[in-house]
Amino acid sequence: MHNRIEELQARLKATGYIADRALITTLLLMQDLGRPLLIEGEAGVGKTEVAKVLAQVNGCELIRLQCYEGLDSNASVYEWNYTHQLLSIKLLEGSSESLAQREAHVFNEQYLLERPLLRAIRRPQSPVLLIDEIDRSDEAFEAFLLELLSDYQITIPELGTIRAVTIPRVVLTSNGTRELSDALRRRCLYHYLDYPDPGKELLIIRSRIPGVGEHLSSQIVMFVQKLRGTDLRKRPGVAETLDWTAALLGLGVLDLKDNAAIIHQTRACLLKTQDDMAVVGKSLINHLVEAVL
Amino acid sequence: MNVQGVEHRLLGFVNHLRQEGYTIGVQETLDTMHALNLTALPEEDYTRHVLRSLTCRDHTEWRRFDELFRAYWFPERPDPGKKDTTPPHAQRRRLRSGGIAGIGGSSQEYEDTVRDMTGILGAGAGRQRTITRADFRFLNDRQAAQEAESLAERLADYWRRRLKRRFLISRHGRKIDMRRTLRGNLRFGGLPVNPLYLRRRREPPHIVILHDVSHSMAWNNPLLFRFARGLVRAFPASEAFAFHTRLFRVTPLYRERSLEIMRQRLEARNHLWLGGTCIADSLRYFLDHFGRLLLRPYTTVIILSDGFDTNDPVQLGKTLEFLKSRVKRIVWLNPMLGRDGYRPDDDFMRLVAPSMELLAPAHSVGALENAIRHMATFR
Repeated sequence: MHNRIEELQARLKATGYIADRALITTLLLMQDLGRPLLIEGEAGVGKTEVAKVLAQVNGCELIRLQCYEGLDSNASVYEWNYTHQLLSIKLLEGSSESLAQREAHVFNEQYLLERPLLRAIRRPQSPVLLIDEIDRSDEAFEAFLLELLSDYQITIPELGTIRAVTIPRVVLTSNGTRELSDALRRRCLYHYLDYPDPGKELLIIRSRIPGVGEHLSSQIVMFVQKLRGTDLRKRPGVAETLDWTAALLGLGVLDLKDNAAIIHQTRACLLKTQDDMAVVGKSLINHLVEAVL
Repeated sequence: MNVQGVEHRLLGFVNHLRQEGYTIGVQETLDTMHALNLTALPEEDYTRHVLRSLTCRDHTEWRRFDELFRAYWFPERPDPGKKDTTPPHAQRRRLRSGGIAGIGGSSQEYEDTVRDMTGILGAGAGRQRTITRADFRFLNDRQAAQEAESLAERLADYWRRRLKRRFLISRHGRKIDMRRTLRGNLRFGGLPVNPLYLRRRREPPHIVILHDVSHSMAWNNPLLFRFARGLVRAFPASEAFAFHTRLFRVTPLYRERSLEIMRQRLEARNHLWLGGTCIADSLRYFLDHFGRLLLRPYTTVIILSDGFDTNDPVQLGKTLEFLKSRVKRIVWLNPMLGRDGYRPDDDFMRLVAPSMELLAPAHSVGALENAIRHMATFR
């Protein structure tokens, strides 16, 4: 097991994703037990990335379902191609086929439009199915997912129950905008992705933005870590740190010292609300830079 | 760690987690066994990660897990993160005894007054009505007090039932959603055979209860306990915290089925009814340690407290103002309001009340019912 953890960790690192042993263990567990994985955490900590790199290291397809309010089975599972069905009925009007034959002709797979969930269970090679921001969908859709996540099958009234050809690796992410049901949580492995510690964040920056110097990257990480400790409405995630690093590099900054004005101008990369912009003024920036140096 | 040799201890750990409020089914237990048997000699970290992924359901459980794991498997090992979580200033105050000054005057003084008062159940009206209206301090009859407590617990359910009723009515729909109707009826050639309606989306409220369990609240707490417990049990996503000079999470205890067990555990762990109250410190501690995790823009925070506070009113006002910016609304249910001779002092009304969406009495079941009816109208 020790070898497997290190091997997967190295493979993920090769794709640019730095994961700790806890996450790697959960990913291996997901593979061994064939259970979906529910990842929670604040925005920007790399939840969606987990599914992307998982597909990359396994050399399989990533099928993504972005959830939103009002998402229904037509957009997520399947839909009949009604226009083609109507055309087909018109064409069959003059034929001598019986009603049953015509019906069988109209409701066959030729007219079935696959949506992400159906597509995921019909792939010959097990794909990674990313159900992103499940908390944004309605409770009805969440209840519908239960059948898929427990039995990996989907029922289409006209065709019957379609069982999975291969079991997809399912990753669900949630930002906690609403509570998920116990039934859904019970079916999933759980992992909470927190903000990375300084060491991990440093590795992430250096692996994602190779051009950044060691000195600057250390300063950036310390600055962002300290900024997260202040009373912000929305703390910057890893994605924001990467954006800010890229912005500073683009502006030719090599050291945070004596660059408070540029930090102030580029703080929009880290902060997402007007309140936070007001909180992080020049004095706080100077204070944080001093603390970093 | 040899799994084969410690299977029964693993089951014991699962049971231990269940007692701590974790929901773990048979399948999870089997999966745990299976996963740990995949490797002959699982390491401590690996075992912890496996058990954590399989048994935790949310972030709260996730955060508590490591401590529970250490306490069960390695009780002799000192907890690296263990420290008194009470803010230093609160610790100092906890050591102090004697007069408690603050908003609304001295709670000790008030309690002396209360003890001098006597009361009996009102006469003339029906028993149920009397119990509903009577101030809880004067329900000396044990059975009447129990009935009042029971009513308070059921009140919370009213909010939930009301939400459900609204949901069912709107489900039939009054307004047709043209886009979805046309889209959904393509199979009928576009004829609206199955019209689809717009329904009002209404989810149960996300509630956080902050319950004052200090000495001055001892008179009122049997009633408010049942009320808070009813709310926590009626809304699964709700969270409850109790506080006096320090704050602690009590959600799993309030979810406990047996009322007696709940009381025993609560009293055993948290030294109820002792000392004064540091409301502002407790709220600040709540914001610092649980705010980001639990508070949402749609959260309703319900404070059950008599308002006697050893902290500075200005500090309380600022803390509440900050809390208000993080949540949808704050409701303060005060058992002192509605009682003869009590009036919140000017500082309270000037500094604290503006942050409240509702400041209502909570001295009787009737008062709680009124508050619940009002809260059920919140959108």
